[in-house]
Amino acid sequence: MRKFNYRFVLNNVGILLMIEALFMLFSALIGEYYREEARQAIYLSSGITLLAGSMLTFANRVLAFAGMEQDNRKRSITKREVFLSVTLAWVALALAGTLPYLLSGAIPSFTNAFFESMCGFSTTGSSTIDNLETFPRSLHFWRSFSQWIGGIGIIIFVMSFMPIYSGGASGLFFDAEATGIAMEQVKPRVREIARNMFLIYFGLTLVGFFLLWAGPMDAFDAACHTLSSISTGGFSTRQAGLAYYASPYSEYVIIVLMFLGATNFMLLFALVTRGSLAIFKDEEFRWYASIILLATVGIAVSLFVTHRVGDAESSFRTALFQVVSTVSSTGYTTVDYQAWGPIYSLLFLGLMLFCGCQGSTSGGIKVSRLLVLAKNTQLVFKRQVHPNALYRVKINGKVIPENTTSRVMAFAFLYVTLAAVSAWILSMTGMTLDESIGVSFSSISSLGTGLGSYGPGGSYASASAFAKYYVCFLMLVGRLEIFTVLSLFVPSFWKR
Amino acid sequence: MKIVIAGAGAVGTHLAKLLGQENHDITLMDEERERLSSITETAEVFTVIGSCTSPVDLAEAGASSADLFIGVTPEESRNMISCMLASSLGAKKTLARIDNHEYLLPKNRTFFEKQGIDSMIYPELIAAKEIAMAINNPWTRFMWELRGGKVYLAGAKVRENAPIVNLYLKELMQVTKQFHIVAIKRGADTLIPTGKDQVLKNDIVYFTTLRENMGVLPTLLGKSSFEAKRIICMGGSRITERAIGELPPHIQVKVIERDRERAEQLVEVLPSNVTVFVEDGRNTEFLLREGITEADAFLALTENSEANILGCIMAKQHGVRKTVAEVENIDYIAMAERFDIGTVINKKLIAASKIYELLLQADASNIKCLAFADANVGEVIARPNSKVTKKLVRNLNLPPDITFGALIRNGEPMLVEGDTLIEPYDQVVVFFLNRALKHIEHLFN
Repeated sequence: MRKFNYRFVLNNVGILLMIEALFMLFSALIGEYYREEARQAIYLSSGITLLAGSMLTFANRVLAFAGMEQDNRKRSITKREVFLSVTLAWVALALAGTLPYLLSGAIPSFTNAFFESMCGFSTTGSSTIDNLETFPRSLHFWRSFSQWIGGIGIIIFVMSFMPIYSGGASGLFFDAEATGIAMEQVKPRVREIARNMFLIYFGLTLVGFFLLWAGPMDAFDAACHTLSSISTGGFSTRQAGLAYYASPYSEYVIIVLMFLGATNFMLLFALVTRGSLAIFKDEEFRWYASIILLATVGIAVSLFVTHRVGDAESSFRTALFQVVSTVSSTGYTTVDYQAWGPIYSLLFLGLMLFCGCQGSTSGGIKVSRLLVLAKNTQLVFKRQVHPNALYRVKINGKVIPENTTSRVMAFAFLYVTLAAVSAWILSMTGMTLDESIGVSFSSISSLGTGLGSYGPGGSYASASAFAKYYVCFLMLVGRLEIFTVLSLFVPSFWKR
Repeated sequence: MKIVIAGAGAVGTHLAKLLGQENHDITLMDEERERLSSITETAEVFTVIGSCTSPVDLAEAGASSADLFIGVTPEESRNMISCMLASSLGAKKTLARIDNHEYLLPKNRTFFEKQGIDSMIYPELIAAKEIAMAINNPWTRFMWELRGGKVYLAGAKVRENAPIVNLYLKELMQVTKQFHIVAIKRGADTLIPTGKDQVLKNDIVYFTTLRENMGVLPTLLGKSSFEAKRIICMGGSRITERAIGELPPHIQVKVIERDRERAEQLVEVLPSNVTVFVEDGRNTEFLLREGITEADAFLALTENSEANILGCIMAKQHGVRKTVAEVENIDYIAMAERFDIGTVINKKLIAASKIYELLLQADASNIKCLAFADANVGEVIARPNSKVTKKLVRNLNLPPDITFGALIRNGEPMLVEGDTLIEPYDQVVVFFLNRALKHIEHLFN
């Protein structure tokens, strides 16, 4: 029997922390540029993180030297080590991410700093900060940058540069962090795919930055908003959010960025590099676009007819912005749609359940899973009439293996159950009915905009400490797509 | 012409017999003595026992001096390798039977030619095309497009209630000029009819017609045309797969396959208008539940010829109007036709006639032939000053086993009648029984 490979886990968490320390230096550079005091705190954070990381990797060496653990052979790595590594790495990432906030004193409470950090890395975009206008710029950048790292996933990010994971393990790592179902079938070429996804991500970020800069935003705001919208995170540098700029141009650019952030990066890569039109034939993309179109047209027409937000263009823009922001799980808002009535709030609650495409930065159950669930349900009805027929769920003309279908059903079951139970738990912390439901659904789908006082323009400042930590847990589970984290709590996962 | 055929299976044997009749120098090679022994008794064919992938055996069979080498063993890769070897030994042309439609794509063509494989034939695909043609024109037994769809050659059974029954062909010519009967199959005999012949009930008449006349033909033959919308297909073979690919996508198809693993494969590749069932196609209760009484066509394409024939008979009893059976056992074909099975498909005969056609193209003459029933169809170009251009068709005194079906003049198709005068460079569609080839050469050159 094989023993659990602790050394592997220690080593991985250590390496990722060292890389995070490097990322922090980018924020420090911003601090240097604006001559902010916070830069000292960031240098210190970076140093501490680097030290912690190197200690972990050093511990790995010491253990190996002392012979306390078995030889770190590459093939003795299983899902157990990988899932634990990824979960711990994300927790460590969020923990280290609190340092700049704490040491600079910008967010004095550890609870709030951890909440802010997790909202960043999980690309949820909720916040407890209510003085964004006076918040140091270097820390603004750190918030948005953490979303950018969390959007594509730090492991995919690292994998695309460094050959730190060997063949088999990299596939498992990719599974644990990437979004969607088809990702489970790409193992042999994961490094190449990770690199392609990152290239698209980086390219979109650059283009987005220049487009936003061309509008009323200054370079700094443009950079932060680009990082937060392409990662479908949703942090803003302004207390009033995007409404501050009152610029239709900026809103349209951000709509495009959020829309692209929630599409399948592998198909985008094929479109950009090879001119492949596969993305337009992809069933998931078509459904994703159709859902957005349908919801936008419906809301725009009803807004225009009831004269809630002004002329036809602004009705359309407001509707499109809210729908894309919700479906992509970004969470930016330009208006408080709760004021329009519960029919809209419930519609957005439904939209946040499924969100974007697989292989994107968005959260939620994903449209591809929705497709599998819907098609499978249709087949259940068909089978009643034709018991001898051999029906299989097909997407893009390809049969989805039964195994995958049952995984998708388990995923959806867990997702909805967890959201429902979480709403009930949150209601015990003093939230109202709509608040607890809104917070639970929007956290697990990494959207961040719930209902009630946690809705558009709201803040988590008033939530209890327990609620904040619980929401952090939900965000992590949602970002790593349920199984990675929850597997660790299932006894049979550990049984030999 | 010297021809070497590798593989004495059904296709190879049939081909050897067919070609042996025309004074070609035929060598048939196979590894198994028993398979070769039956043919030496019936036809004048030289046989060689040996492996078609062994250069020594190929040389012994005379592949180095062959004008044509044909690889028709059951295995695709053996056929291809034997063609490559034969070509390197010096065979002028090679032809391989294949199992993969990708090889036929134009982009792959030059590659295979470079490897020494000049042509390839995929019998399942040809069979599938015939099935699709039969489904799209359910009133015919079979149907061929000639000249890229300008002229059609079709065969259909004459019903008792048909307006043309018992008419003499010369009377028929006065009633309608919309089609030209070129051959009649009565029982086991095929005849090239003249004006003095009569159309009888239950004859299978073969006629040429132009595209615009297709609509009126079913009524003349006592049939009604209908569009097949629901098809039940027994057996999920490769022909099934290809045939569904050839059919219009709005047709509802139910495929019944006994083997679960094969059924899973079919679900993977077939489009969404097809439903696959795991069941025995002979289970009547199941067929009734799945609506065989409402089906427009029944395709029986399992590997079991008997089951296919019985399946079609049963489908007929349940009122299915069009039935297609794959009958691989050549001896059963006549029987299947007697049981009124709409269209009988035989992969081997299809393959053999296709190869025969390619072969005649390779020949220097300008005659291109298709073998159907027991007669041949050829396209011949009339040379200037040839005998055929001098007189009206009725005054040519054509031999009794030749008739002209249609002609293409400057790209325009027309049917040939008694008072047609053939002009130089007309492309004439000629029907003839075997052995009449010499007369044709004489008339046209």
